[in-house]
Amino acid sequence: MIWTRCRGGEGLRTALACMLLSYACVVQSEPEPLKWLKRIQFASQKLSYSGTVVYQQGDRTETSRITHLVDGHEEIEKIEFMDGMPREILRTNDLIRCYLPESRSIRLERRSDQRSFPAILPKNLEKLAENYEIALGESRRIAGFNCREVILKPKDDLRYGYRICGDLHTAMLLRARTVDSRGATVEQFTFAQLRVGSVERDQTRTSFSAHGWSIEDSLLTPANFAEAGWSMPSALPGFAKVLEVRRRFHDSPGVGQVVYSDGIAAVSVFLEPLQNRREPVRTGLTSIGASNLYTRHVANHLVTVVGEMPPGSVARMAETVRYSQTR
Amino acid sequence: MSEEVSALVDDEAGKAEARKLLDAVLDAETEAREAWRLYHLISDTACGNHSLSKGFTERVHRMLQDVPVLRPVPLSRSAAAAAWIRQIPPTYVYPIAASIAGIAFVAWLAAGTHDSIDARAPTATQSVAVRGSDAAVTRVEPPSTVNEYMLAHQGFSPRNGFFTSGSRTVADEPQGQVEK
Repeated sequence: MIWTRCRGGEGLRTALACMLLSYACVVQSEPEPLKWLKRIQFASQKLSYSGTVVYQQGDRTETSRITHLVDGHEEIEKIEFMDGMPREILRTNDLIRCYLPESRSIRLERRSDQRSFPAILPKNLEKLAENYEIALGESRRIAGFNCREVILKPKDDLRYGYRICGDLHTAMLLRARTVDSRGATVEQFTFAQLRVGSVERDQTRTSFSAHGWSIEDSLLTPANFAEAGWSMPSALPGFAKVLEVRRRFHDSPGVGQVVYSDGIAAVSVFLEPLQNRREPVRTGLTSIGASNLYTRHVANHLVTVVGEMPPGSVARMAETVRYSQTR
Repeated sequence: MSEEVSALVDDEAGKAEARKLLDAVLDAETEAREAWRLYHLISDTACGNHSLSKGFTERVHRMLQDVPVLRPVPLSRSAAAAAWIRQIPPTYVYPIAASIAGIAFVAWLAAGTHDSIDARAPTATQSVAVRGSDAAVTRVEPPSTVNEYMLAHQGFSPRNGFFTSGSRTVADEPQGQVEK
């Protein structure tokens, strides 16, 4: 009926009304949690804001100040670390500059799909439902804002769960908790203070005078490791390959990185030639917050799997890595 | 007597027999008491009762040092071993057997756990059971390039650079705490 009326040629106004009505129908048919999640995703990426973020993991706490400016197609973000060694991260669209005053260096990274708190949600949210049950959680009050929680409960034990809280007014993401299978918090990012809007460009400039500092560029180049004999025959279910590059580390000019993601969690497989190593290599598991690293030797390479997922998952991923000699 | 004590430890002795054996142990009969203590020590170790494992190795070593040193005799290996065993005073035979079994069991446990991950596991390791896999995973100290790995990975994860070069990591701390 709507289509018939639209084709009836009642003018632009009717067509617009039809479009809005159709969109409203689509939105209405979506489950409520997913709709709310989309609003949070949009707000966190498209709003300008500044605030103080508290990161918690176990009994460890770190505070940082984040300034995010969206000006047309340009997105600028500055993160100042308030604890420990002073350092800053500046991101302009895909280019990331990490200012490290201790080593008087600037580390450059280029990333096509940069996501960091509070903009942690992927563009394709529907895909999340393949691996997570999405449900609305409780209403809470965080940093003076009333917010509503969305729960992402994993459908298997290969990944952690997430509890994401968005401001009811602006939908700005205020808190993100990573939880294990028992519901215990693995790590958490929370805005202790937030101001939406009113961000000036000057606020996004580095506070360091980086004159004379060295520049380290990671220099990513596309790669195909399957052609070189590498295979990961049974990667984790629900994870798809999103990147395959060769990059430069301090001592290793040709370290391979293959990234898999299930939409929100990501796992990187690093392939590092052992001949570049100056020190003995330890193989096994290391945990840093919600991230786990698992290292093993394969074909004179150090294979290191890094991911914010349970230790068993990174170990499982690492154990699938194989090498077979190519002609 | 040791077999009877073993049955008592394993809860396989009858009630009356158990009472009799307990009396024998409590009556300070050296061999039975020693066997009782060692069987429990091995049992506790096997069950992972770490409070009892303290000093276990030292006690076993001390016990082995108390064994008389015997001169080598020109015999075949098996004959030499049999002869060596025959010369050991009866009081020491069961404690030694139990000690060797205990050491072998603990070694087997350790070797089995490490082999499941990597035969070249480092010395500073700790085995833990993990979720998402039936295998035990060996925890190690982070590689020197851990921050580079983290930084390179974080662009594709929902986390930002909170763990960049400003943090030095120590994996063997509980729950992977990070040292500042």
